[in-house]
Amino acid sequence: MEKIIYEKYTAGFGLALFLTGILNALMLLAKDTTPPVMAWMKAATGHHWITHGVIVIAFFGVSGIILSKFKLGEKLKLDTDRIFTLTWAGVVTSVLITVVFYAAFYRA
Amino acid sequence: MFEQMLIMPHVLFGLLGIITAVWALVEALNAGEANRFRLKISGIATSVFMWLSYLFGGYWYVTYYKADKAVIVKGPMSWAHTFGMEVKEHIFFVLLLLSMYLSVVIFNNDVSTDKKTRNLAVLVSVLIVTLGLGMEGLADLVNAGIKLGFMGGK
Repeated sequence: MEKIIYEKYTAGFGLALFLTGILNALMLLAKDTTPPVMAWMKAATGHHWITHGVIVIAFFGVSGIILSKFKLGEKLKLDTDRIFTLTWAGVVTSVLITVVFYAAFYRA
Repeated sequence: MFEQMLIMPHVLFGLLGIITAVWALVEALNAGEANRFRLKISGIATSVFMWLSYLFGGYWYVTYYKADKAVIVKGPMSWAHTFGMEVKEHIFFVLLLLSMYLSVVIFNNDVSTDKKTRNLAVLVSVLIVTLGLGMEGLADLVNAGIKLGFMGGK
């Protein structure tokens, strides 16, 4: 069966969404388990959540543009099925890490 | 009073974002020549409403939530903050990214002719609705934590 390669922005930002979802989860693990990271994030903008948001949104935008411009989706042979899988997998992984971390391991 | 009302636009725009994501889901499932414009409008509206919800909610959270947090953590439902609010404030970013990606998918593909692209638009819409409803549930959890905190745990 022929695989359809996505147009560059759909593939680029799809991959960016996956990467940013993972980054979002890893950042919360880092800041809530490592006081110096939390202190830096608070100092950077006045509130850790503002810094977190700026990094996540900027990473999504910049990586999406770069991945699209250099057509990395095409080079990585990201067909429609793979983008579909990356999308739900990225979201589910990010949500699961967040929920499990705060439910089981983190006590404020 | 005015300060307390500042949370209302966050809730309102969040709900509107969920509603327009449902709209986008329906348009994507029935994608064709006739509804191409409506699909684009629903996609861009979802992104705009989620951004407005983020900005209003973020302002309120950073400025006023500290007082509520102090009440919650001293009450019997301290996990409404340590679990509920922490999960909500971090998963919201994924929701915001999804709302932007929905517009990317809709505006750069012909969803009406490509079944796989249509499936992707449907998936993104469903994820937005699911996470959006999750945000509503977590907000209720936080509100319950505040109420019980003020009631002294009774």
